[in-house]
Amino acid sequence: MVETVLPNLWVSETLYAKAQLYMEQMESNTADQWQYGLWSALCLELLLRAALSNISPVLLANPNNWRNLNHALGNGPTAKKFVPNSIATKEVLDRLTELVPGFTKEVAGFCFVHTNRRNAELHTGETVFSDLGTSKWLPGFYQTCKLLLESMGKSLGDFVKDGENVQAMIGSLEYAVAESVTQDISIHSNAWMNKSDHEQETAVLQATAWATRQSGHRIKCPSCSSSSLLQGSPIGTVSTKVNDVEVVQKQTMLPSLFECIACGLKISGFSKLSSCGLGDAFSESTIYSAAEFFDLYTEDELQDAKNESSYYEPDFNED
Amino acid sequence: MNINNVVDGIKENLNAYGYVELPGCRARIDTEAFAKSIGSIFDVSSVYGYKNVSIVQSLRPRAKSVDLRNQYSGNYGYDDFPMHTDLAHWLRPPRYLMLRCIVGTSSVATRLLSNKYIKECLGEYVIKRAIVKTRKKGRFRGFFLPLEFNEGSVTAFRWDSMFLVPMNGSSWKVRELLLSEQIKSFCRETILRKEGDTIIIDNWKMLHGRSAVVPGVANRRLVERIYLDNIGK
Repeated sequence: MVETVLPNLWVSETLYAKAQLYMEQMESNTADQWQYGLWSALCLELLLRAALSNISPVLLANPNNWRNLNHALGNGPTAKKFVPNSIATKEVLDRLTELVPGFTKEVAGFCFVHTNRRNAELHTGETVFSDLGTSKWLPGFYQTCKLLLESMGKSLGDFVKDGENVQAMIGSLEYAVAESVTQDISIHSNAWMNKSDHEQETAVLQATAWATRQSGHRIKCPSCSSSSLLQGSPIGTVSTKVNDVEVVQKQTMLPSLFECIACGLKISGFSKLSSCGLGDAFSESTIYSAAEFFDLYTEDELQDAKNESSYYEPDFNED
Repeated sequence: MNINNVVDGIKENLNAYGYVELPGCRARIDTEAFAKSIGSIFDVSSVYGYKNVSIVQSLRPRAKSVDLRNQYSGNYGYDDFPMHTDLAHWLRPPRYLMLRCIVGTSSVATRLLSNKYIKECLGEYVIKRAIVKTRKKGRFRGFFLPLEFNEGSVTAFRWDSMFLVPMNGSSWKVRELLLSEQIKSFCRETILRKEGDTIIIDNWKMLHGRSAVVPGVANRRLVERIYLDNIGK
C-alpha cells in the first residue's frame, strides 16, 4: 500500500499561496523598478501552474516518468533519490488553452512572451525589465491574472492591493482594443466604398468562391458584407454521435482569426474579434465513416483480401 | 439512547457552534468504539511520516523537553497551550477531533475560539491574504499555505503559532492577535472533569487551546484524542 504523502508541492493551494507572496513582492516595488517586472513574471508563472493544478495536480506531472504522476497523486516516493519533475511552462500554457475557457491562444501568447522575459532577465546580461515600459505588459498581466483567478473561483480583489484601479486598467485595455478594431473596420470600409461597382462585384464573387473552398466558419464581413471566414481554436470537450454509417464529432471553436479577401480586412485574436461582435463561439463538425473511426477493414481492403485468395493455386502433384 | 438521535444532535451543534460537549457520554465504551459509533475515524498513521502514531492518542500533561520539540508538550510543558488547529501544517488538517476524558480534573480548561471572531477582528481581506509556511523538518521541505482554505462549500481556517511561520503582513497580524493575552477573554472554556466527558471540535472552524496545568495537582489528567473525517454515516 502506498502511503499518502503530505508535501505534494504541486497542489494548487500551495502554488497560489506562493504566487500571492510574489505579487506582494511585486507591489512592494514601484512600477519603474526592474524588480517590479521580474516579480510579475515569477508571479504569473506560479499562477499559471496553480490554475492548471486546480483542475488536477496530475496535469503538472512530467509524463516522462510515471513516478511524477504518482507524486502528483499525493503518494510517497517509491524509489530512492527520486525528485519530482513537472512540465515546462510552454506545456502548461498549451494545456490551459484547451482546458480553461477564455484562456485563448492570444492570452497564452502574452504569457509566453512575459515568462520568457524572466528567462532573459536571469540568463543574460540584458536589461529586460529596466527598459520595458509597463504599458506594454501590465494591463495584459492583470487581465491574465483575473482570468486565472476566476478559473480557480477567486477574485482579483483578494490577490492585488488595489483591486479597483487594476480593474480600471483592464477596462482601459479592452477599450483600447475595441477602438483599434473599430478604426480598422472603418478604414477598410472606406477603401471598399472607393472601389468601382465592377471591382466590388468581382471581389465579392472571388470572396464567395474562396470562402466556399476553405475550411472555417462562413460569415458576413463587418466592413464590406462579403462572404468571409472565421477560424477558431478548439475549446471544451468533443461530442461524438454514432449513426449507422457514419460518426460525427463536434467541438466548440472560439474565434481566433477573421479574414475577408474582398476588402482585405484581417482581425487576429479573440479579444479583438469579441470587441467587434465576431467573438461568438461556433461549432465545427467532422464526419468519419464507421470504418475510418473504428479502424475497421474498409470495403477495398476486404476486396483486396478476396482478390489475393483467387490467385492461390492448390498443391498438385504432377504425374 | 438512540444513537441516530445523538449523531443528529452532534451534527446540529457542530454546524451551529463548531463544537459540542457530551458530559459523561457512554463512559464505559472505549474512545475508538465511541468514535466509530458516531462517524468515520481518520487514521493518522495512513499519512506519510506518521505511521507510528496510533489511532487513539493519549494526552497527559508533561514538562518541557528538548526531545519533544515537534510536540506542544515539549515546547509549552505545563504552561498554556496557545490557540491552534490540530495538524495545521497539513494541506488538509483532520476535520474533527474528539477529546475524551479518562482521568479528569476541574482545574484545567480546554479553550475554544471560533474563526468567525478572528475574521471580525481582522477583517476578511486580512484573513484571505494571510500566507504561512510550514517548518522544514529533515527531508520534508516546507511549503506555503493560505490560512483560509476551501473544501467544497466549506470555508475553513488553520492556525498554529509553532508549526506555521508567518510569511506576510496579514499572517503576522493573525499571529499577533492569537498570541495576545486579550484573546483568552474571548474564548469559551470547557472542562473535562470526569470519565466519559467528551468534546468534539470542528477543527476547520474552531481553534482550541489548553489552560496551564499545576504540576502535582493536575498532572494525572489523561485525555484521549481521536480524529474523525465526518460525523454520521
